[in-house]
Amino acid sequence: MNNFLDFIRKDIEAKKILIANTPTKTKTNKKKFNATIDKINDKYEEYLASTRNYLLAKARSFEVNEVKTNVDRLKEKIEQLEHVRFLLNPHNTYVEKMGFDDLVYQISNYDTFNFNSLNEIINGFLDKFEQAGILLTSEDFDYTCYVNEYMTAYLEARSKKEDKYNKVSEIFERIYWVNPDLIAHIELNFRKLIRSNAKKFETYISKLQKDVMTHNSVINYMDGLNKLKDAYEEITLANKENITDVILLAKAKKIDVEHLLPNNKVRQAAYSALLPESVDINDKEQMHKICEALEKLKVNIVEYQNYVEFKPLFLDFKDEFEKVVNDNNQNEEYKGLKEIENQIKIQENALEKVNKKIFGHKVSFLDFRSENNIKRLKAESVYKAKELYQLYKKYDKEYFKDKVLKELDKTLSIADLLNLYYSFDYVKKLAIQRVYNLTNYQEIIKRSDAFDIFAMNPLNMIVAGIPIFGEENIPRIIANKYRLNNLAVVEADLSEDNLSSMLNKISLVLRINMIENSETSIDKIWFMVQVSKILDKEKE
Amino acid sequence: MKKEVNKVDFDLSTLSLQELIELYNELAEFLAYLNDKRIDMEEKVEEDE
Repeated sequence: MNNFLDFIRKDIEAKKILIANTPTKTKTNKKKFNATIDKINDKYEEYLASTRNYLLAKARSFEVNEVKTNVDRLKEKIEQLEHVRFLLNPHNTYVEKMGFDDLVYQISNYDTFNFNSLNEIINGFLDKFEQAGILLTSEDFDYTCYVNEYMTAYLEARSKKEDKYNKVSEIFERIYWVNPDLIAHIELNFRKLIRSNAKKFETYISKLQKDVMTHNSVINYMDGLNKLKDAYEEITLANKENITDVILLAKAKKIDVEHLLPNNKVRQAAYSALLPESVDINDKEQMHKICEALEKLKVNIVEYQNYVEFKPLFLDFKDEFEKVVNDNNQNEEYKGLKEIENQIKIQENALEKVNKKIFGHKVSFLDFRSENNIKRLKAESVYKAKELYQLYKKYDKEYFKDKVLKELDKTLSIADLLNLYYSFDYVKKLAIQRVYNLTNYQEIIKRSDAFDIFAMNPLNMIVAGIPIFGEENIPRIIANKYRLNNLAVVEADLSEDNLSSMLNKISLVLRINMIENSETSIDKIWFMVQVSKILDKEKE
Repeated sequence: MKKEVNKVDFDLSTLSLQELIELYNELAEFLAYLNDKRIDMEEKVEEDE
């Protein structure tokens, strides 16, 4: 007998023979048979319990506790610097910095997405005005008489600071059947108020900018960006996967621990896909250099994956502006935005005149205009507001186009476009909605948030060198770069369908290298995972 | 003094990590086997001769 495992195997074999040959024909036989089973069972329960305790103690002795330090502090620092960038962003205006573009997007899509609460959106607008010290009254809501009636009731309910919105809902319902465009007209009223209070908002933003610059010791936008880049580099390093992460991932079955083992086919395939045959994987110095290159390749592939995810947006932009960028007259000042602004001004003045007649009738007892006349005026104001709504839709397009044209040239890079869309949330969401043909608000927000994370990353490398209007083969660029680092990566490995598989291979080689250069071993991690599986099974 | 007949007399420290897991699995599987083999006395059986 060599060891306890051999003993158990032989004992089990013998016990099985004994059990097979024990008679079970009669009741007495069966009782005796069960008694034999129970006796063996008791013994083996004890063996199992002792073995289990031993396994648990051994697995515990292998635990590694590499704590990630400073991550929370760095996250906080990054959040603050992101806010600095948001406020100092030179590409957009107080409208975006106040977050009005997001609210306009929400209210203009109220019907499309069946939002639960119009009140939340309206309160969002009112809160932002109040933040800037602007207290709106019912007199400010004069876009149409219906907007005035609704908002008067709304502001009254809001001022009571309790749930008195039931009456407001009744008013909404009554107005809705006369003017189904009420929400659209509330949106226009807010947009007009946002514009007419521009100076107050700009002053407020300017104060916020000064505050955050002082608080974060930032002297200007570029300085803020550089500090943000440093913070990103720090957190990337601090968040780098360590042994504890690998153990947790393996225990949680997020990675297959078998793949780490030397003879595993997945492991062997990963090595042969990434490393040329000339590399000696036992040469620690050589592997250190290879792994440094693999870390960078991994970052590049993640960036390229993001690029691929949002490629339809870039192509959409390219389609829209390619003709313009190739137009030799592009240096002439584009007047589209000013023209639409003038049209809006003229139309809003005309609407105001009609509204004055309606409101005037309300307050004067000496006015004997017929009820029919008032009905006609109300219909006219709704009609004009409807026309204005279409003008505002054109305005939104021209607004973004105007910003784009100021920066547009043949060298505009993907990074520049990321920055533009990141700066104009309303336009970005509309583009995402259109390009990906999305109808669910949460899906749009999810994609928009993913876009922002990609766009905000100051460590993006590839996109800075890829022109929107050019034809660059990104997989070839990446593969050529890493062949210089002695990696066996070819263009086909980086085709869009292969990116996840490549990332898995890189991660596997990096994990193995990290474990082999640590205080633990692959065998110990494998063992800990098996013990963890045993415990999981007990819980089932 | 209680007779320690059931104590595991063998040294587990001589086993490799893989063998330890194999041992646990062998024991667990055998216990499941025993459980399957146990006869349900409620079932109809032949009377004793």
